[in-house]
Amino acid sequence: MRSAKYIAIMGIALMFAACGGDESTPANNAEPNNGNGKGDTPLDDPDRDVTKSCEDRRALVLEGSRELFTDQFIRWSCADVSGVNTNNKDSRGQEYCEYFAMLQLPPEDEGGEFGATVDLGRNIGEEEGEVTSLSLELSEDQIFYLEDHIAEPLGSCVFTSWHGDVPGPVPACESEETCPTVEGIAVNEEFFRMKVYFNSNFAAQDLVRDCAQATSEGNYQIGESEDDALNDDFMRGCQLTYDLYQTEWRKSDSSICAATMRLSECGCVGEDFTAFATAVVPTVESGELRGFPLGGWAGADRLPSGCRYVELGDDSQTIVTCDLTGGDIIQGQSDLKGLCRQKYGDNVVVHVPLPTAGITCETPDGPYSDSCTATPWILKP
Amino acid sequence: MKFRHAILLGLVAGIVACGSDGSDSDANNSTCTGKCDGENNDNGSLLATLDGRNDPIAAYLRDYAGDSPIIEQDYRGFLDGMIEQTGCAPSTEKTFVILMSRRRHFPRNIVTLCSDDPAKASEFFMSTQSDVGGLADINAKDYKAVAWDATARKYNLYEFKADSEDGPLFVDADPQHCASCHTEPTNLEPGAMPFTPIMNELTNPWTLWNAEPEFRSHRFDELIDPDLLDAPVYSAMTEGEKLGAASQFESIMRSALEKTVGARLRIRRNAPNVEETLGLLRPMFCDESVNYASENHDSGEISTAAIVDDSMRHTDWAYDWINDGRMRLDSVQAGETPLAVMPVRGEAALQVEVGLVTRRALTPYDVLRLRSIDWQRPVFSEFRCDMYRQGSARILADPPDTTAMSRNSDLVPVLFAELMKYEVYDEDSDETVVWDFAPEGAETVYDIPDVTDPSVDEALFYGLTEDYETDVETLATNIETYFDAMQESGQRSVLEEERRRRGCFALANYPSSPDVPDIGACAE
Repeated sequence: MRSAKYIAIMGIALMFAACGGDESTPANNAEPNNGNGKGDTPLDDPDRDVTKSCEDRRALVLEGSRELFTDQFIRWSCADVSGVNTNNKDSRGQEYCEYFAMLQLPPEDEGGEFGATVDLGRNIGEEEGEVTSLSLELSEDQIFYLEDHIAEPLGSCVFTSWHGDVPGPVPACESEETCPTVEGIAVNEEFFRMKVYFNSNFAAQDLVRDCAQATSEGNYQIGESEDDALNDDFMRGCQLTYDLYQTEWRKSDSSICAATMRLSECGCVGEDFTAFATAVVPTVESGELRGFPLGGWAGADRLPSGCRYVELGDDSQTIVTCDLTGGDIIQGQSDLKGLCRQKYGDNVVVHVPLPTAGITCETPDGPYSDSCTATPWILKP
Repeated sequence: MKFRHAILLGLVAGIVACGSDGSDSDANNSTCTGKCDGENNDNGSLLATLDGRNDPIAAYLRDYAGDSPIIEQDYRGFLDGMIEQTGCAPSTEKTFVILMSRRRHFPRNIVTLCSDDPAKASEFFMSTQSDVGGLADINAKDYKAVAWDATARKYNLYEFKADSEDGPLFVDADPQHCASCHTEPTNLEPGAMPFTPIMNELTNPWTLWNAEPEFRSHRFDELIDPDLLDAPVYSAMTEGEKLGAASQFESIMRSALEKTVGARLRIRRNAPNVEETLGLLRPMFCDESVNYASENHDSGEISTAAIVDDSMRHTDWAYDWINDGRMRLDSVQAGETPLAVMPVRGEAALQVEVGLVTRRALTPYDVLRLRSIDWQRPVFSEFRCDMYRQGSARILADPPDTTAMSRNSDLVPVLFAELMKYEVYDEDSDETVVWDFAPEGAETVYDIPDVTDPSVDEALFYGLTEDYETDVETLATNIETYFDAMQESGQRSVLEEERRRRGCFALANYPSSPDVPDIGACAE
């Protein structure tokens, strides 16, 4: 474990470090936020207890106050799970949702001009950790300005679910006049489309197809005795996610795979797994899916307070901005992206629309057939 | 030893004052009862009271009531007037419902306007009153309201109350008797803490609040009187889209805290003033405010603040176990009940501490040095508060020379260093030992999990504190070990015992404390 003393002092240093959102500087090279010797996602811990990992996920999915499986959607929030961090590189953005902060810095000296737009923690490459700078250096006058406008929106958290393999421009930006801007930056692929390789149509399709196929072909673990934890639907799906990808800790992967597994167990998938996958995640070529729509827990089109859609001209609901106040910017100056995760990430919700009208089920005989319902993807405790 | 004596005093104070159903029966009207029992309604000079105020209620009253402290409007007429005054669309009106629980589970409805914009919404709150005995519905002619004064950077409180069902409402534009819920607890000197709006159960699952439609409510649906749901006033306030979810109110409340804490932190920009600066530092040592955390239904998930001070999350430590802010206790076993309404350190106080660091008046290292003392007691540490009491007395008796300083921010580190010293007096030997928990230039912390451990008492007096002196890395490892252990099987009962201890202290000292369920009698 790296010295925590170093970490604390590093934290101070970061507050004073001059960065200002220079996008040419990947954070994994320039400023590892801090480190504890552990990895940046649970994937980096091969000795983790998978059962415990799945139990934790199950408790939050099925026993908490949120409704993750509805009659139309599979849902999870943009906030990364515990264990996804910036220790060595910034690995945040694991959930088919990338996020970062944008703002125009107030004048460095009282009475001066506002600075150019800076973006903080934005992914700029296909690999995890290739992100713009995380921290700001604020002058005393800038802090005073932000403090004088403590509750006013002076910047934005940007949440995007625009899949990395879906091309732009968005319809609204086919004309410069109608193209929306965020903090003065027009919506474009460079800034507002997800970048990391797994945040793509392709990866989502693979996940659905593989989970459906493994289940249908019986290549997955089931309970071996009456009290086996794998008799629980979510635990079985979570274990399958681990067996396929070792990403059972992701909210997205474990939820999609568990729901797909149940659809398969209940005979709703058919024999063409690729066709099923593209029904859930339409191909890039079809132009039907820019990304999974973002919403809130109250509904697919009801964002949390302080957030709004960027109108892209296609109703895709894939770019959301949420207010950063003067107080937020002071508090989050060492990592505004982290503040976005903390303040909004748990309430900006990714929705996977299920093609419910096209789902027909012929439940086969099987160990878990008896519990099949008309909506088998809705997992219950 | 004085040290031991001070700890005992704190415990006794906690026991003596609690054990009743809150403080509703307290005849002293200065005590917050969760309700304003107005007695200053005959103030004949409303305009004089409003003079200089720059908040939307003051503006409304100047137009509507003039100098008369009497208005004819029930809550609905008042809200319609405020909609016009604020320019908020009627569709943005939201009612958030909390079950006040000291006597019975009766709803208190809190209304905001411009509710989709937390910064704007937190400029105005209207709140219905608690039940005082057998109400069948919300009293439409008995309500409070607060509004943000953008010039003075503070909230102003108003009370509206009719003497009879058919009578007009009297306006009290300065109801002092209502304020005690919103400032310091009874065990701290009043004056330093600004009026602060309250949402005790600030985090998911927002126990006793309506959480729908975003989330499943916790201890709300099963406790609200079903007859009330159809009562005319309650129904009118919550019908259709008007009913708001606790998660939305949380974001509005955090914006309100941002306003009050931000205004308080501006004190550091003033010319050097020892008393002002001491007031700014007090919430680091003494718990001016409290919040309450619960397990998220049966998931075992709960805020880490239940066992570790939440401000450590803001000191740039790299440890997931603390930085995520949520932890998961072992699954609920037969005979166990999920933890509910566990007192944790107040967000308002915590944000002052965080703000002093982010504004560079103090360093994260300073915070860790303080938080490492009695760290298994993240809230209600009498020892830390006693450090403040001792240190502030020393400072006021012999104030530092401020002639070379330009602002309070220059004073902050000087006073903090003095407050980090602690005197132990032995009556038998008439000796005093002074311990400096933050010696200048040292790169160590004092890792003291529990000051009530007798060995700590001995160590503090007999000079064995090197046993507790360590580096930050070791401190972090020790806290992590404790943190992990608390999530193991069987630890819920340990936390339950701690919840009872904290609950009794909160009920005894914090007038705004909610009912802390199932803690039994506080006095043994």
